[in-house]
Amino acid sequence: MAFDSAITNRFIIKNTETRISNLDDGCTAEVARQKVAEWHRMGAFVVANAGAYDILGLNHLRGLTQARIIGAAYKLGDFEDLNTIYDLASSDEIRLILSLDTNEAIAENKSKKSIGGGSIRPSLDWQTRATMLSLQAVAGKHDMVDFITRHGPNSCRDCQDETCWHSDKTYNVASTGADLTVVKSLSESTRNRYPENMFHVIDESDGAFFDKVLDSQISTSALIRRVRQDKERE
Amino acid sequence: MDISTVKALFESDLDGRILKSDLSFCDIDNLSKQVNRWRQAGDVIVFTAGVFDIFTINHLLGLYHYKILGGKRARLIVSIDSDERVHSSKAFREDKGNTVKPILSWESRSLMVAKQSFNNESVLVDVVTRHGTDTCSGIRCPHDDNVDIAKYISPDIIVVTNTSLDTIQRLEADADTRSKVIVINEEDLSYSDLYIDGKISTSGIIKRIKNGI
Repeated sequence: MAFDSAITNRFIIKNTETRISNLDDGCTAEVARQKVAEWHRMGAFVVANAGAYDILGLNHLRGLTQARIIGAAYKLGDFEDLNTIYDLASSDEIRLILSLDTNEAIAENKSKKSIGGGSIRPSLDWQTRATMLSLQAVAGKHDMVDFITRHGPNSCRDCQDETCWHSDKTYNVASTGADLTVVKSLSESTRNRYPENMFHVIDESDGAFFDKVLDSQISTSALIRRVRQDKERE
Repeated sequence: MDISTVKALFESDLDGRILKSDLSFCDIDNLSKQVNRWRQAGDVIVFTAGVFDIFTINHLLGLYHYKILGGKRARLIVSIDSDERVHSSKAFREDKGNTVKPILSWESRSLMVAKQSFNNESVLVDVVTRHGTDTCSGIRCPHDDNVDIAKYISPDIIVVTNTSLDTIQRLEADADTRSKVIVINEEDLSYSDLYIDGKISTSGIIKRIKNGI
């Protein structure tokens, strides 16, 4: 039997088309704001997150799960039992909007730099990264990410909205109107513009998955360093 | 919130789907019993094997398709190469990107596979198991090899890619197998990427990381 790729492609289209930012839909930031407003009208608590997600790994998935759980805990209150919080985190009552670095933003921030593992970056195109993310689930039953938007250079066509092109991903994603933005750190420009209670700062290394072969916590940069080991010896 | 609880919740939906045979315990009989229970309930057992080192979108699409091949009652069993087996068969091979292998341990690779969902509605992979001679103790065991596991549990469908010629020949040579063997053309796994030469694969990503192409 021949592999009928049309079947799997139908799955991709069904799962991703409406949940991934499309440059043809107008101002990227405005589309994201409309999406968040729509969820608010439905009574959802909206969590925002941002990142590169280049070569999706376990700690990416753990971090996104964590963002949803934090959102659920904010909504319910920490006194609720964990299973209730997890159930809520994997329901329509919690919505996660993710702003994905454009290729140009990653190239600018990480390419051939130690922080990016020393390799040319990104490893994968924006559309591939977005599609892979859109196919992930929380608790195996709900979309992990409800909408994927973008930020950085070339994140919008013919647009002067600074939140579209601002290089600070937190500054950008917070402008969506989400109830809570889960971040690794807050820049000065973001602190100055938004109230501090909009943010929940996490230490991404806290509780991260460690890989014994990688001999490190799993991250794209660590993975790249392992691949390049022999390259560096040459 | 205690951060360790996030990890615990993250792993809670695995629900025992990763079978962790080791040198002190072989779970092949548990797998066989589970397969029989599913078969008696009318489920269709689909078996495949792979490395899944750096999990890509084409790995995911492949697994989707294998599950679809089994129909609405499909149960997908995935056997993942042990670290030693990956090292001995793929490390520093020119066609695999000429690098250390595996990049990630079996534990990480299996967890990534097990966490995938089917259309974000149900689990994609019903059981993850392991093959390679270092899986169980020195006694000869079906875990030694993916073909041996397939023969032992006799799934309804065995899916292999056209690049696994040795596996195909060994499966076809076994006249007793009641399993239908479906050969997938890897080139038909169609997702490609602007930055990867050809379709997306672990080797393609490695080549980009190493050579910037």
